[in-house]
Amino acid sequence: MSDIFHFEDGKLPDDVRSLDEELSSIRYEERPSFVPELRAELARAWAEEPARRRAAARRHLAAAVIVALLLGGASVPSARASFVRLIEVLTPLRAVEPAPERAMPAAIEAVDPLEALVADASPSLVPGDPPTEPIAASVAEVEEEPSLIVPQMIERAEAEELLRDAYPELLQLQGIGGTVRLRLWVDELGRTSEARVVGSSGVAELDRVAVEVSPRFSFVPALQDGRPRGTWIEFSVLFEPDPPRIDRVLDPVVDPLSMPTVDESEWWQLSEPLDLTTLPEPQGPDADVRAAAERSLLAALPDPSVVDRYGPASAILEGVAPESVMPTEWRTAVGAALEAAIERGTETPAVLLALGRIRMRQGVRADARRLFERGLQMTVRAEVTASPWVVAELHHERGTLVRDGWRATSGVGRVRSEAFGSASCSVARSAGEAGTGFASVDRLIAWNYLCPEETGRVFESGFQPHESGSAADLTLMMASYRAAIESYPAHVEANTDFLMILAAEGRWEHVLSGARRLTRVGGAHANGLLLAGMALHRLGRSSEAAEHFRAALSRMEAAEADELADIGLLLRPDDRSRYRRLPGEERRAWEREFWERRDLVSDTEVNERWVEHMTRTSYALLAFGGTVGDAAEVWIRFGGPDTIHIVDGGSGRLTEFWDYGSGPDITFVRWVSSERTDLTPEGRAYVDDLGRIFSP
Amino acid sequence: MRTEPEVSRRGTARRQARPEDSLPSEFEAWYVEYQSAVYRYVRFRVSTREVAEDVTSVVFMKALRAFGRYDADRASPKTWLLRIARNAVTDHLRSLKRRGSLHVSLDRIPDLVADIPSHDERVIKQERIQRLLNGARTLRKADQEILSLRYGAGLDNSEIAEHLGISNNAVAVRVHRALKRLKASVEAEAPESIDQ
Repeated sequence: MSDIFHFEDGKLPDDVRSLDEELSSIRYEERPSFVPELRAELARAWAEEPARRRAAARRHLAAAVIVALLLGGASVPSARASFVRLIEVLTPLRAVEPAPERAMPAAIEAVDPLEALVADASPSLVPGDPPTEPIAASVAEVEEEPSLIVPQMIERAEAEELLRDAYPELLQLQGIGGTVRLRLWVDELGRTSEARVVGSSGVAELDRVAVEVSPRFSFVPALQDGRPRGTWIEFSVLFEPDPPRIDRVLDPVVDPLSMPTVDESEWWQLSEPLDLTTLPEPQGPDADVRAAAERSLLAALPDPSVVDRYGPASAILEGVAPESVMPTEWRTAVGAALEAAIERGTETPAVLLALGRIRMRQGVRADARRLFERGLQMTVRAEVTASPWVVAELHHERGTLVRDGWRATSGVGRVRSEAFGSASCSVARSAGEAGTGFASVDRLIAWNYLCPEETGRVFESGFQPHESGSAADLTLMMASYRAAIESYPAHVEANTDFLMILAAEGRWEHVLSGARRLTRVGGAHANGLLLAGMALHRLGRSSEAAEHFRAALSRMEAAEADELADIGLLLRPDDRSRYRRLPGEERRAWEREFWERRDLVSDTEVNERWVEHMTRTSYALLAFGGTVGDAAEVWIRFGGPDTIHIVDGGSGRLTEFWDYGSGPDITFVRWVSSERTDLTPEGRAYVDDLGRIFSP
Repeated sequence: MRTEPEVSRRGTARRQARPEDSLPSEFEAWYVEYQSAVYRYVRFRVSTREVAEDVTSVVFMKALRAFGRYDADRASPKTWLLRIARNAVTDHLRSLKRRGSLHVSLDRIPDLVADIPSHDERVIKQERIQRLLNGARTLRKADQEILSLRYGAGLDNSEIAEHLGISNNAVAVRVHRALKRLKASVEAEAPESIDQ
């Protein structure tokens, strides 16, 4: 009691004050996009609420009917077949229930070996005491007992309510249900006891709940020849979770904590050089693997005709609408068909993969992630069999969602206003302040282009990265990619994304060995060769890099190879137009001539400028999804910057400052929710100026 | 004086014509006002940011679905939400217990930070924070609850008193005792054994 005297002001005693201060000083960094994501999810759930309630009402009605039917075994007249089947096993032992009180059909012969032992404990002497275990009688025998009226349940709705209330919340959210078959003694006063499980649901918690709750049911006792008597009854209790309530995130088997971290073990590396002369022919994902996934998808759909209307199955699996239909309507219709499979409980990982992809395209990313994780849970729990390719796709999609979160926070920060200190940029004086102790993005852009040297110093001293969870996201993302690769080693996209992260970190030795492995197991996919080429060039082995790039070009579709080898961005605008209008052969000739004139180190076999160009275009292709677009254009023309500062402008708007060492940084704007990185207007003007000044 | 978003009495969840992306205005206000407290309360008790996000999502989803049954006479919205959060956390921890993992490695907590400028000191501080939280998870439930209300949700003693239905003084006593037990727990556990 002594500690009470310390608390008049709510202040803590000295012995724990420092601990109190320490705990009070903890800051909890939330992922910036979490709050709007959750809000959007809530809004969507609210919008769907009326439909859900209607569906839930229908389900409750259906569940009530099922429960009533199952429980009804104890109350319907004996003439009904369902009841007879229950009575078949309700019947008490004749030996312990001498007729008429413990009525048994006279025709039934007791066979219980314990008969002699329990005969003296006949419950007929003590109303309410149940007999020992009943034995089963045959249907025919029971039907011969015309005078037995079995216990009638009172307040069935109340019984159902009791069961629903006792159904553990967590099991409901996890979608766990089952049917428990129970045996219960109903004495001659209608009192219940001795509930026991005779058919387990397979879930101990459900069995326990059924046993605990069922003695609270009320019955009118059984009657025989107009007299009440005790009897065993047997019935089933069905626990069926409400599908919309099932939370697929709870208790994830694919726990982020249990995911592997990126390491340098040998699992993804291949140190032996590739023999480029014996590369296998290009091949896509195993057709059988895809076909199996599509079959799994189709089998799960309650209405297979959806494929006729919205197919083919491959499009549904990819979550991409065929060109002939309106994508929005297609996503809504196919999404509903896939949801129906989940409602019916027939979903498979392929269904969850397809629906997750549709949700991604509908912008419901949190939902998508849960669906992918639910699919992974199913495979880990071995609820169903899924092909390694589907598992890899689920991991990869999940990793991609994590990557988007990581990109929203990685390297992002703000510049403290005080860093401007005594720096002056008279022409940019009017650019505004954010009023938060940090420089506004407008001010930084203005200073960057008008006083670049001053701005460089400001960034150097004043850039303050956000404290964020980007390291955790990075780990989770790489672990997801790794899990995808381990599940299906030839998964090109997972391999590529994994290696591109390492490339961005400059870990070229690792990129090289990973790319060799991808080339070896991935049917010599061009991505593996491009990554190996990039790594070799960065490691100073341009001659080998050139061979890899040539091998990659020879294995790509013509249009893709054209895009990769394109030199249009290096030409004057008028030449660029003429070059791009040329047929293939003439373009190749133009390119040869272009590069020959620029082979500055002519005593080597390889044209280093061409290899550098291929390295840049390969990077743009793999990092930006193509060579078209502002970021790709700048990367191809000027290479990668020395550093990139990413300034948070609020509301999901990020401004990137690409620093090339001298002159202004090139500025881009990127939206957190978008894949695009566009030049700011000032950045576009500056890049165009550079083009006029340095055009070849 | 503490202010709550204006709510009507029973039957607050009358649906109105609204665009697809809207929430009931009262619920929206709760979300804006209390999302952070709920998240922090949850984060104090679970091992990672990802889990905290998931559990927080469950809390608000449950609250939204039970919105029509909210009774302002019985609890403030904040108290109501934190009660839902407590149940959600309990469910989560129960599931973890089955899987046998309540602690988290020290290198996975970059979202728990303190205002310390030096990177090295911050890393040390983060480890210390995780040890404290790991220690807190070894305490009995009542202690965990009161600590997470105070240091997670950021409630003051009078708010905790309202939440738990006890006196201010009783809150202070319980906090003190919980802190003493936490201190003993952290001191008793060698650093090596915390980091599994």
